[in-house]
Amino acid sequence: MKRVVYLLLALTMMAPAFSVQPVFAAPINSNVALPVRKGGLIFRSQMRWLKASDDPTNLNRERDVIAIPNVLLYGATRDLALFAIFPYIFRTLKFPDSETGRRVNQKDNGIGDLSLIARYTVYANDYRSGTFRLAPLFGVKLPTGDNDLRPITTDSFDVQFGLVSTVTWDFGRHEIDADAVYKLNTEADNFDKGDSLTYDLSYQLRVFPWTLPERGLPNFVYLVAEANGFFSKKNELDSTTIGASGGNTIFLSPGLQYSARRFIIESSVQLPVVQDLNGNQVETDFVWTLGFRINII
Amino acid sequence: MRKKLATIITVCLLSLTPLTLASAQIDSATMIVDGMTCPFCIYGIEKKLKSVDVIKNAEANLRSATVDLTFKENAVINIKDLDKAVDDSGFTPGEIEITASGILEQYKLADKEYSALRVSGSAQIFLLTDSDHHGQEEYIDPGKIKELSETASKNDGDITITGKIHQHSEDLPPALRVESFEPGSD
Repeated sequence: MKRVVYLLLALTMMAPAFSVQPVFAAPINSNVALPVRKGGLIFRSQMRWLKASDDPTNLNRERDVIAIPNVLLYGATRDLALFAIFPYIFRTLKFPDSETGRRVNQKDNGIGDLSLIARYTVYANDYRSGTFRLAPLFGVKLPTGDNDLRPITTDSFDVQFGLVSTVTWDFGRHEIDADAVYKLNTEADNFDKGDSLTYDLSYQLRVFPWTLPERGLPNFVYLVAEANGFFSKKNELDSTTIGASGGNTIFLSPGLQYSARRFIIESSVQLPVVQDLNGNQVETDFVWTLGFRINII
Repeated sequence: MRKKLATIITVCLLSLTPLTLASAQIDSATMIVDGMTCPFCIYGIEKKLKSVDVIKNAEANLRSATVDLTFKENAVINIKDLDKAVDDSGFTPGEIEITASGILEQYKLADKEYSALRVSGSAQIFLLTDSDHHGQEEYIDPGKIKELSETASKNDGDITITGKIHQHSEDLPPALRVESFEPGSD
């Protein structure tokens, strides 16, 4: 019973913009089609803090989610990259108890669902000053997450597929990434999370060094500007559509990134500019991301 | 007929050149790599090239889209290994320019002879050419060979040659297209 209540509660408070992204981006919140060296292993971790407190009702519901998606990324061949994403999630829900009216502060944490993704570069045009690449991806989500974190975690086996494109020019001064990834969610335990589509556009500008030295390769600082979209269909519970679920959100996401040979440190703030949500869902205030990547081998 | 004449002239000229070994080597090598973008990606290229057994160090220059290569002592370059390393890192290998010091000699394979540079102190041999022709047989103009031999004779037969290298046949050493040369340093 408790689980069902939490589920319904979390559903009505679900901000569609929150999802654990594949996070193998060169941009911070978008995907990228740049290569992973054959035999290379990269570890990436982010801390993503989502705060949602803009409640259209007078219940003053709030939700804080800190997700730490950890990604192991392996270069199987020059064109095939494999990703394993294992998130850890902290969630705090604040809402009035339906019977007593007292304010409830519900905290849960645990591991999220594991995702396995393969990305294959089908087209690469390398030129002296940059590259243009196209890479479709395909992945599965396994029901490995903690039950207390419903509906961020689900009991279902889901699939996702999409296309990523990257173009760079002027010897790394400019980079544009674009992607669209569709998640086909299946029903499990009488719950069917609505299918979703993420769509991103990112631009990176190298601001340091503005002029490259004649020899060598210094560390870079990039300014990052992204537009991150998330559309999801309504959820269903016991074959009944939940009105207060699904919708469309678009973020504008300024960010900063420091890139060295062995590591990257990055941060961005996602600010919602469009929140077209179904029903009385709590709207997202922001998503703050702080992350790093390491070339392990 | 022209090739035979070139061979005869080369042999004659080389016979006049003292064949002393000097402390020469592959002085420098620079490989073009297309598609490089950021330090985090380029790490993979350097790492892959360093894993090639003859490579001592690999360091990228993004502004020129090149990687400087340093070879181990007695290294014998296999261009295909270098190209594969860059390819496995997900990027596109381009031409390799080297500066190498050594002595001129005739390289013989079966019944054919080729003008060549033997890198002193190693088993590395480059067949010499002065054209972009990547055929089975490398060709270099007799006049160019004469110039090379005269330059080499100024320093006891030692000469330093700069140019781009390419591989054509598994049976033959890589070819070096002569772009500039000077007497070898002692």
